[in-house]
Amino acid sequence: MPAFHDSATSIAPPEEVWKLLYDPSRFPDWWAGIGTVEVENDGEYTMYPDGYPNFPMAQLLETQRGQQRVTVSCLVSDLRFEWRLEPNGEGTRITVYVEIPETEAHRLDTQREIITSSMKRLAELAAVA
Amino acid sequence: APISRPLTRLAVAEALARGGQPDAAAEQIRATVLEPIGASDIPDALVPRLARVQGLVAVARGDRPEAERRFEEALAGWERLLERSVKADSVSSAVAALGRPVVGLVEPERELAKVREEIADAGVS
Repeated sequence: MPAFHDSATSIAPPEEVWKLLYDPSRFPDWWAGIGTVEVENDGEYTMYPDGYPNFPMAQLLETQRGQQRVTVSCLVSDLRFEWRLEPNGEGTRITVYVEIPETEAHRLDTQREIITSSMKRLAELAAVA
Repeated sequence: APISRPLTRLAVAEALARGGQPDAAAEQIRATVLEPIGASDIPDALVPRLARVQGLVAVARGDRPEAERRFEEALAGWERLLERSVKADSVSSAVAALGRPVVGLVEPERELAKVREEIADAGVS
């Protein structure tokens, strides 16, 4: 399965990055390509891509005790994003592992670009929060 | 049921902030987000809870603008959750039983009222 890692560092403390990462309603503020989000319950939410307000894509945000990560899964495309935060001095190291199903392998390069710009935006937004 | 470590840390942070120990409270806030979090911790309710406790820390530090900012952040988070819980069909039975919307075991209206009281007590607008 195609996959990649990426990381970024924010000068913001972990709690400021954490609040943006654990609240799907904030994803449009930093995650490139996300237009709007409707949060349902228990980690379930619907994402509408930028420019496609009538194309709902069900998503799931999962957290698991014993694992310091949050996983976002697209229930339409089966893309999966595992996010981790670690203190880095007074700032935060943000890492993500992305898995792309074989049927979506053609999107690998695009997803790399999206994630790189999204992580940069997340790091910057947390720093001004 | 397992005890929620994140919620416990936030409760400790709140107690420390109210007790005039903002630096120790801030350490607990930091520790909260580094705890493993599961679905039973209701992560999306943790976000406004954390913002509220950050407001209490700011009050303890005498930083009114920061306190206002954090309390407004908490209000916005709870209002989003309240709006969501009012819309959800699955909440109807809980509303019928309790007479008010809930998110899991969290009551956004009660949390909103708590933050508004703290804004009034702190003298922030």
